[in-house]
Order: sequence, then C-alpha cells, then structure tokens
Amino acid sequence: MGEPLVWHRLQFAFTIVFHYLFPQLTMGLALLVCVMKGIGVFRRDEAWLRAARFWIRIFAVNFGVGVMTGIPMEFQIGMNWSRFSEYAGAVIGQTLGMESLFAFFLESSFLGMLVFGERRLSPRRHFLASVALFVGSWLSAYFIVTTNAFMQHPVGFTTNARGALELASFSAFMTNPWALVEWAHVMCATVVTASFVVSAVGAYYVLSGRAADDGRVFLKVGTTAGLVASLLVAFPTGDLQAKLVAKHQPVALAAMEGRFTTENAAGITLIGQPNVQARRLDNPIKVPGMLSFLAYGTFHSDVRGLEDFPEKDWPTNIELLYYAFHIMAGIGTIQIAIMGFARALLLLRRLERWPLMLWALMLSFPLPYIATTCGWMTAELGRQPWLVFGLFRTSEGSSTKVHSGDTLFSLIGFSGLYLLLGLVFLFLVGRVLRDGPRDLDSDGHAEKAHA
Amino acid sequence: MPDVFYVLVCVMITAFVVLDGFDFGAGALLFLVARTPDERRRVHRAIGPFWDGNEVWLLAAAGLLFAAFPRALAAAMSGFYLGMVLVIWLFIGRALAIELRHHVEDALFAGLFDVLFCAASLGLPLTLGIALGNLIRGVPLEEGGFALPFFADLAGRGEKGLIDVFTLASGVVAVLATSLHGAAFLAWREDGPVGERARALVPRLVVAVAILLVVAGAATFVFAGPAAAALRSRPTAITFGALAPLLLGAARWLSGKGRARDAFLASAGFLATTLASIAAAQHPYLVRGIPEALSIGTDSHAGSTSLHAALAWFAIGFPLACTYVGVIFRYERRGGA
Repeated sequence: MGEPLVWHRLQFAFTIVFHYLFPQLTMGLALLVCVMKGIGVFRRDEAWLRAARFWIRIFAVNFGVGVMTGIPMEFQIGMNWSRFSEYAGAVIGQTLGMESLFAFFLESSFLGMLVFGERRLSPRRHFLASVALFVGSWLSAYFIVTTNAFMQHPVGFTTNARGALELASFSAFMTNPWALVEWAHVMCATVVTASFVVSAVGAYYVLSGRAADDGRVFLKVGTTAGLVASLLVAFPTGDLQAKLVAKHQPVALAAMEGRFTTENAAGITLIGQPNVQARRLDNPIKVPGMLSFLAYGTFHSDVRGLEDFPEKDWPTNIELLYYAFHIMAGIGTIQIAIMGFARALLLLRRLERWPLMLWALMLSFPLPYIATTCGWMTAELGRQPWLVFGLFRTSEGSSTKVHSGDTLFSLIGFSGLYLLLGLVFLFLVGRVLRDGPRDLDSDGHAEKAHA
Repeated sequence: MPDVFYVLVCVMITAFVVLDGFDFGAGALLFLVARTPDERRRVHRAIGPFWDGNEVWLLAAAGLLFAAFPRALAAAMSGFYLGMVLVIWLFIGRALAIELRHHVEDALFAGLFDVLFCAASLGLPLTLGIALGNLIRGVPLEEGGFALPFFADLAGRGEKGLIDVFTLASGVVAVLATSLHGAAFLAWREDGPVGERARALVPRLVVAVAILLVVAGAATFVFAGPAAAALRSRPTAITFGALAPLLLGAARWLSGKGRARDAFLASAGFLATTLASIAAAQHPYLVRGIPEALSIGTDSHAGSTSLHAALAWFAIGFPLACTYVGVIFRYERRGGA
C-alpha cells in the first residue's frame, strides 16, 4: 500500500464522518433548545425551562466533542491536501475564514453564558444566549456547505496564469444555488437528528417512569419538530437537491441509481445489487417511471446511464455510492413514517397507551445518524473522481511532500484518540441521562454533586 | 494590498498568542501556583470562560492566511505535517482534560486530568515556538513545498529537521514567555494563595525570559543569518525589538508595585512587540525558504478580487470578535463567581 492518496482519503473520510456525528446534533438541538427556552421564558413555564436546562447540558457535552474533532478538519485541508489548497484556496479560503470570524467567535463566547449563566443572567438574556448559539451554529454550517457546494458545483471563479483558481464574483460564490439547497437540506436533517434524540430520551423517561412529566415535554417537542423536519428533508429540500444532481452531475445520478444504460421513463430502484463488472444491476425491484419523474418532473424524460459517460469520469466507488444513496433514501422514508405515526398518536392522546410506539421511538435514534452519514457519502462519493467537480481531480489534490508513512502515523493516532473521545462522550452523556432532568438546579449541575 | 494582509495575519496570530498564551501559561504553572486540588480548581475556573474562545484566534488566523495567501498555508501545513499532527493532538488532549476536570468530581481522576492539562499546556507553546523558529531559520523549500522530519542534524548545520538547537531555543522562549503571561494573568485575576504564588513567580519568570531571549537572540545570528540581518537593519524591527525588553521590564516593575492588571497588559505588550519585531524581519516572507530565493512571500497572494472580498468581511468580523472578547472579560469579573 505505497499509494499515499488512499491514506489521505481514508483519514479525511474517517475524521469527518466521526466529527459530523456531533455537529448534526448540536445544530438541530440549538434550534430545539431555543424553542424550549423561548416557551419557558415567555410563558413562565417551569416545565419547559427544566427541559431546556436538561438539553443544554447534553448540548454542552456534544458541542465540546464537536469542537475537539472539528479542529483537525480545518488543518487537514492544508496538511493532507496542499495541492488542492493551493489550487482553490483563493476561493474556499473565503468561507473557511469567515466561519471562524462570524461563527466560532459567537459560539465560543456565548456557550459559557448559556451553560453557566442561568442564575446570573436575566431570563430574557439567557434566552438570547441560546439564540446566539443557534445563529452561530447555523451560520457555521452555511460557510461549510458553501465551501462544499463550490466543490460540487463551482461558480464565481476564474483561473489565473499559474492555473490556480481566483475569485471572480464573491456574491455568485456566496449565493451558489447548490449551497442554498444543500444548506436547507442539511439543516433540516440536523433537526431530524435532534428530534429523534429528544424523542428517544422522552420515550425512555416515560417508559421507565423515572421522569414521566419531563418525558412528555420531550416527546411533544421531539415528535412535532421530527415530523415537520422529516417531511422537509425529503420534500422540497431533498427533491431539489436530487434535481440539481440530475442537472449538473448526471454521471453521479446514474451511479447513485446503479444505472448503466440510458432509458426513457426510467424507474427508480428500491432494492438491487450493482454489478459493475457485468455493467448491470442484479435483482432489481423498481417503481416504473419514478426516477424520470423525480429527477426531471415528467415520467417520460430520458435518464442517462453510465454508458453515456467516459469511464474515467465515473465515480470511483459506484457500489458504495449506490448503497449510501439507497440507505439514505430508505431511512428518510422510515423516519417520516415513525414520526407521522407517533405525532398522530400524541394528537389523539394515545401515545402512552402504545408502549410499542414508545419503544420504537426510544430505539430509533440511530436512524438519522446513519441517514445523514449516508447522505454525505452520497454527495462526496458522487463528486468523485473530482475534488472540484469538472475542474480538478482528487488524485491531483493531495500533498506530494507527505508520504504514506506520515499519513498512516496520523491516521492510527486519530483512530485511537477518537475511540477514547467516543467512550468519554458516551460516559458523560450517560451521566446526564442517569441524573435526569429532575435533579438539576438552575446552574445545570446535578444537585447531589453539591451535597 | 498584500502587505495589508501580511499585517492582518500577523495581528491575528498575535491576538492568539496574547489571549491563548495566558491560559497556556496558567496550565503550565498549574502545579507551581496551586498545591491542593481545590486551588487547582480555582485555576481552571479562572481560565474557564476564556480558553476555547482564545483558541478560535488561531483558527481565524489560519482562515485569513488561507483566504489571502493559500500557497503559504498549503506549504506550511503540509511541510510541518508531523508538527501539526502533534499540535492537533495536544489541543484535543488539553480540551479533553479541561472538560473532564469540570465534569468529574472524583479526586483520583481530577489529578490525572490536571497532569494532562499541565503537560498539554507546556507542549503547545513548545511546539508552536519550534514552528516559529523554523520559519525564522528557514525551511528546505522546493517547487512542490517542503518536508521536515522531527530530527535531522540537532546541531542545525546539516540536514534540516523540525527540532534543532535554534528552534528548540525558540520553543523554550515561547514556553517561558507564555508562563510569565499566565502568571501575570493569575496574579491579576486570583486572590488567596494562588494569586500570591503567581505574583511571586512574575519577577523570576521575567529574569528567565530575559536570559533566554538573549540566548535565542544570539543563536539567531549563528543559525538564522538572513533573518538576523533583517532584524538588525530594518527600523520597524529595531523599534519593536527595543520596545519588547522595555515592556518586559515594565511588567516586572508594575507587578512589584501591586498593579497586577497593568503588569498583565505589559506582558501582553511584550509578547506583541516581540512578535511584531519578528514579523517585520520576516517580511515579505510568509515561509522563509532555504535557499531564500524560493521563499513564499506576499506576492503569492490570492488575487485582488479575493483580497478585496476578504478585506470587506474582515472589516465587519474583526470588530465583532473583539466585542465578544470585551463582553466576556466584562461579564467574567475579577475573582470569578
């Protein structure tokens, strides 16, 4: 395995997948905490304030691990991908620079006030601290998504005499249509993650009877936000995203669907195994005409197959891309069903008489984590073999001066460190769950800690 | 225009050193200023509201460098690969220690986290100081960047490595200077035994910094000829270089007078002028190369549209960031809650 590119890619993939387990909850939860805090403050309702207090504690632990695993991301672009940094830095450096200045400072400054400030700040100001965290984390996402959108669908640039990119239009770059759609899709997905987590904890407290009142509040917030966000993540945001892929990355769409031949009135595959060697999809189960409709809005559009594109432009891992996309779409559908059913039962005041539904809510919190991870894998595997789509190949982007031995050294180190971080995270969250929402004073400390 | 960005990047790096420097220093001195677990908890509380915001200045500096001088960022980050990996691990380890110290009440494990926190707080300025030493000495640049092993010739004569006597001296200066800064911070913010011990440490650390600075300065002439020549011949470098020892002395004098806050500010001024003097001597190079002709300088900038856009958002974002720092310092009044 002398090929350094493999290790560069593996390290980036591993560190970013692990990292994104945390921000997706942070961002969605930031919104839900704002809602709980807002209702609690403006209605002077202690139950909602207690809910907010509990989730701020989870938020703080989750945010901390998100920051720790986020630091490597910014540096790795320069460390492992120096030729890409040189090539595209004049453009993507803009958004990465803005992220620190506009989002990180805001978040790091107000996190302390949110976590420790309830007694010292007025209720209204404490609410504003939660809004600052919400704005900061969602802004941060916009900058990162815009960076990614440029790699997916580059706009607003020119190429200079040295062959590197330069910015041509800041506003075109910042309002890349791909970025707007991707951001909306990603943010809805973060709310789905947070809703499933909040609902799962609510279901646990109701089922165990440990803090049933608080559990009911969590279930109300979780299933309401969960249903709305699960619907929005599919339609219109996911739908728009798919149409953009169909328009600008037709080769990626073909690979996502495991489609080797061009077809009129193409069907959508529900299940099947892509057989790249034989250039066909084995054992397909399809809904006729559906893909043409979803990608282009009519049942009779041509959907181009991989055969229409030169093989050197095919995504490099068609099988994984195909499964990532189908798992994301499949789980997305299941999420709507779970949240729709749970919310309807809650509306009819039947939810607690259906312990099976509560069990389902409690156990289904990993689903959105799997779906978002697969969603990002779809986006990034679909972009291959390009680092900047149509302009710059991944194989041209890695650092020439960093050899396999260096990269494997750091990858092994990151694996060990992240295993430790993961264990610490589970331990700390486990403690918060065990202490429960009941025993918290307004500083967010468990009361017994003071005894 | 590129020179404006050279200055702005240096300002951001200076802000990082001045701000994160005091919490590195507080961590480095943890076992000297705090003898009991309870006193150590006070040190953690003193830096608690600040440390993670302080780290953001490094990310922001890197972000600005990326936007304005992508070639310099690409060469430095990949060239210092192993050093950067260490820096990242130290940052993660330190954050982990601080967070766990806050969450875990158990005395046995609190001790473990304190040791980890102290070690990482020493390791970070050491590593970053060594990196700065490398930039002053120059790195073996080629067309596609450079690569440095941890060690090559420790005497600094033959093949270049990250660590040699000169860069090590620069790392030790960084450790001592941030320790002084941390002591000045704790002397200002803490009463009781922690504050007293910090106050007692200030004059001793001033002497240590002064001695090491003379050693490192002399080493510059031996090991980093081109940088030393620039340091000696440029008026801005000389001016800042002359101000630095004055401010170091002022920190000692103000601390003796019991004006702890002013001593802290003088120590901040010392760090800032030292860095400004180095920056003036390095200009226009962002990455000084061996041979010098291959250095990456301000002419490698990102193009005028990129720079104009970056200047616009920086002009909005920088005052905002400064305001947040001001708000936090005002909100977290002296002595802690």
